[in-house]
Amino acid sequence: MATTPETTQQYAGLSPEQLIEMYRQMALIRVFEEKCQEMYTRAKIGGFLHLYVGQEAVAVGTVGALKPEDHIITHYRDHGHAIARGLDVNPLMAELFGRDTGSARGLGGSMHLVDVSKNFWGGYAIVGSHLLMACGMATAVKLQKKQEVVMVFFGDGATNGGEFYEALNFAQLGKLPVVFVCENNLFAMGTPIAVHTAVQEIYRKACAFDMTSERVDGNDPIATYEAAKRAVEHARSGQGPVLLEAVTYRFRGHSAQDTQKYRTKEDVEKYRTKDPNEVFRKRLISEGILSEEQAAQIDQQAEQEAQGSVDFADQSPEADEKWLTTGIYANPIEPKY
Amino acid sequence: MAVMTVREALRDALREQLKDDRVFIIGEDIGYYGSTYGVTAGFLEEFGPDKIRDAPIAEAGIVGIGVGSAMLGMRPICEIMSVNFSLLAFDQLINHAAKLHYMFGGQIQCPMVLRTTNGWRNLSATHSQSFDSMFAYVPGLKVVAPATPADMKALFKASMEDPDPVIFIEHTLMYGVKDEVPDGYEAKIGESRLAREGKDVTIVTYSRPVHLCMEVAEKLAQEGIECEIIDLRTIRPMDMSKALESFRKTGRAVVVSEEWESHGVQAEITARLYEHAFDYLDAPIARVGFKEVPFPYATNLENQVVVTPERITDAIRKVLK
Amino acid sequence: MAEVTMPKMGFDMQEGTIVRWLKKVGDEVKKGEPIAEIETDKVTIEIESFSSGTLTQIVADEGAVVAVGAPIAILDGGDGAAAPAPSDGGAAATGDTQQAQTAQQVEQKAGTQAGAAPEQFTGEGGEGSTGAAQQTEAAAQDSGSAAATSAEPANGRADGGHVPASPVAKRLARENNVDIAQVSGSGPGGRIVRKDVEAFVQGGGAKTAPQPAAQPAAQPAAQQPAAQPQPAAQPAAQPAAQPQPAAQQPQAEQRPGTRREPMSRLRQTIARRMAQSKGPVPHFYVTTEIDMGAAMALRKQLNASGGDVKITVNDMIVKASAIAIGKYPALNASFAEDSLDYHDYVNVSIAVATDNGLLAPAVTDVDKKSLGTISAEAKELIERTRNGKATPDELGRGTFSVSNLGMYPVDSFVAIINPPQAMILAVGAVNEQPVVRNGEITIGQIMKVTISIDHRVSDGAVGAQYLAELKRLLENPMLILL
Repeated sequence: MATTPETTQQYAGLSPEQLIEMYRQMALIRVFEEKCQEMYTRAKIGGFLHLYVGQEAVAVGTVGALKPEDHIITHYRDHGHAIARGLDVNPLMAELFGRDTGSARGLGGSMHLVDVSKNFWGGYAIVGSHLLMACGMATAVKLQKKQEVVMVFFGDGATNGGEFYEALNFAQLGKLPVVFVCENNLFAMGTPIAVHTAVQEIYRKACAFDMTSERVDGNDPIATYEAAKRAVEHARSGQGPVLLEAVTYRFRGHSAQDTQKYRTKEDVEKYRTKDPNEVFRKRLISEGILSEEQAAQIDQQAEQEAQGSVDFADQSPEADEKWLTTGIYANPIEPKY
Repeated sequence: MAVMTVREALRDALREQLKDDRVFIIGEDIGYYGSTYGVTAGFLEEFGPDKIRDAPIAEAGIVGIGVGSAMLGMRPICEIMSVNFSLLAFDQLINHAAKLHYMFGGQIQCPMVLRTTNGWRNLSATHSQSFDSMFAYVPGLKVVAPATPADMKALFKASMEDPDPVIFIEHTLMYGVKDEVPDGYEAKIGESRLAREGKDVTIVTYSRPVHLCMEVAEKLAQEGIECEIIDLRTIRPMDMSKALESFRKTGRAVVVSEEWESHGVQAEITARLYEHAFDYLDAPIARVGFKEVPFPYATNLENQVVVTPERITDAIRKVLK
Repeated sequence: MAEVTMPKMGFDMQEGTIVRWLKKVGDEVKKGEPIAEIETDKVTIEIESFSSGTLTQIVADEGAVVAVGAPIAILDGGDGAAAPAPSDGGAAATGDTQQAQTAQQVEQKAGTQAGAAPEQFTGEGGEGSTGAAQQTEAAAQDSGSAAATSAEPANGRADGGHVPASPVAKRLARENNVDIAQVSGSGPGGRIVRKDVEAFVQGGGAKTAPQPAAQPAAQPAAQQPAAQPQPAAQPAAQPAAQPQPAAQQPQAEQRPGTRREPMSRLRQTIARRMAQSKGPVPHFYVTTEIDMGAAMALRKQLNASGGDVKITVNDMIVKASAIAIGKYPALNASFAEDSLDYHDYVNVSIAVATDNGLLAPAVTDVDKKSLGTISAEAKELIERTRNGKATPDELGRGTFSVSNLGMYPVDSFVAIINPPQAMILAVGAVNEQPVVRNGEITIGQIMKVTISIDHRVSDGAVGAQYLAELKRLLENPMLILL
């Protein structure tokens, strides 16, 4: 389908192929996450599982604005970012199953997905800590005189801890090329935002540092992409960091074992009727970018890919014991007796 | 062969490292102030603000910057002015620096060196502690605590060349210690040093107490008591080989360190002596450390808390009974 | 056909209770639809179906407690989704409660079957079995080695009581076949330390033959028979005598032509007591010659005058030694750490050679009894002792000892004090020897007597005086009859 100037503007400069690719990613993330939930209940995935269901637009929109040489560092709800970044789902599911073929050889699990070859520097499980590391990464980029950008993801809950403030100060002070993406899904684990933070519009916290910031509808992948592009360019140009708040909603619990006492089913249902994946799909079809058959095909392929990752993980050998003791150091030195 | 102080040896070592593009130092008051203990005095002028980075008072941030930049190939030196402040950075050190290589299946490395200081003298409870054992407790960290100028220089180099996070522990009361630094002297992480030979009792120690023990040994030699002193130099991974060899000879040991006497590195050293040389044990092993109280301010009280030559001597005599 | 299983809803959840079925048999179920309410130990929650179809069977009724992974319902047809993995609990990577349970069971079993072969675990999921079997082996090894350690005999603890000794001292004692209980300790609280064992070994102290571990220890010291040494191999008589050459290091292996016999308990005890005496007790020795002519003549007279009792030379020596000691109470005392026990009775231990070793029963109140009584009692005691019938009291009540080797061609010898006594007399044979009397050479019946005295109790002058008194009595034997 031809791209008219109006179309281009409408879609923030994204081509139909790019738009379709965005939908494909959102569909894949959704199916993959639902598969994870099933696998968790079948006790094939253990520990804590934090699903991205409902927030797909944020990851796809923001990561879509990055170049391959840019860096991503994120929190424990990291499946979405990993898939959006193009990580193959097979090693991801294998990691969740604790297999040798997992992205971290079974040593990390759900909260610590990684693929350094794609500049995906991991999910982190201590709320707020990795923001400081993002500043460190950006320091390195600057000292190495490179043009890369570091994009760091965190939730609304992370904006109350000391690390957040230290990180924003360090970043603004050093004009570091960091885009701080706050995925505000209105709850910090089980605590509603009104209960945990004094300033509920998270982007406003940046003013304490005179930092550029913006708020965007995180359920609209195109709007999110647009805002992210602005932020990334700002950071890359040397003008300094940006705090980008993407307001979204998560459909499932904080983690797989969350009983969600803090919100009603009706509340969740209300949001589900506006499921961003559904909305985007409908839009693309009604605006002629996707046909119903193509969409169905994408959905089916996503299902196959997700199921394929389960099969792959099932058939993989379990984590190799040798990493238990030899993987701790890059340069192991044995104690002597 | 040069003779220099610990401070001078460290400055030499730092200068050599700063030649490398990947190396920078970040810490509080290391630039404009000229550094609390004079270690980086003049460096800001010499190397510029990109490499000598004065940080805000934010220890978690300082270490976080270190960790993050190390991940992307830099070789940062993070200075935490006093180990007491390192508590604020424990999450970065223990949950992140120590875990990156393991948790991400070997894909990420953290070649960061954290320089910090133990020390005391009328500084009161929150400025006089040492947390050697807390660092040494964590798999994923390496912990080095040299005592001599030569070892400071050589082990700092070794720490910087190591691809893993290293905690490099200095001591505020040791910066003025002067000694020979032989040309080309090298030292490895994870190797202890025989500081003094003797046949009667084995002293296992590290950092500042090494010098106190040497003093005590000189005095006791006049009584015919010959102390053998092992300077561990690295606390994690610990090299007990020389200590055990000595202990098999003497059967009697005193462990000396500047830390509270329970639950510390001393306990680990003692356990390893018992475990690996049980059949050579001739008397219970004695430990000399800080009295287990928060540090008081008044000098007369503080003197009763810290490790002194008298307390070391008493322990040696007790063990030799 | 799809099986609905009890889902794992939390990382530590092991089982759930069906509270309420939201669908009944025959109902249509859509994928994602809630199908039942379950209760865990934390909360009650709805669970969803992961496939579509018709509910054809409810496997677990309301109220049933079902383990995670076990089937609760069957769905038929619908979306043709493949049956999920068999409900064997799944081979979860980490945090699998079943595996954790399995591992726990394995550890418990291994603990109770010390040394038993590891159990085979199959069908619990691939990873589970490997890990579990390894854990079993490790646990079995651990308990096996623990058993070995605890069964290890306390070698060197001869008397079964606790002998404080440092590990290196114990090891050296073990390696040198030394009974650690014989070694006296110089460490704090009497602890035996390395140099004590080294000194003991170099001093040629008595060694135990290697004992099988099961042999019980000899009796505690309080009930020891008063052992007397076999004097033959004693070192030179001076207190400052050099220790025996260290050539007596016991050899670990035997040379051909050597027969090794375990020592009897008695001999072990004697051995230990010898060392206990000779080690810490500073002996000194005084010798004199006594002309027994008159005594022998008197004895002949007494025995010829009819009556049942036959007086022996030893009887006379025993009596004389008891009388003489009256003037020197220190020699009739016992050494006790930092005090002396002075006895107001005189019980003389008489050395008796038995088949098993030297024993020394004591005749009581020798200074008060007549020679005849002493002789009779001594005879009776000696007889019973030879038959092994002497009581511990009889064997332990002496205040000093007399050891007579005069029946052998022994001129003189030196004896080891029997602790806690302070003195022992060593009596040699009576030999005809030229003597000088009143300026003339004549034949005398000369008997050499050497006393060993504990130098902590007394000194040379007292010893010499005592001997002089003994000599006087025996050379004027009518005094003994008083």
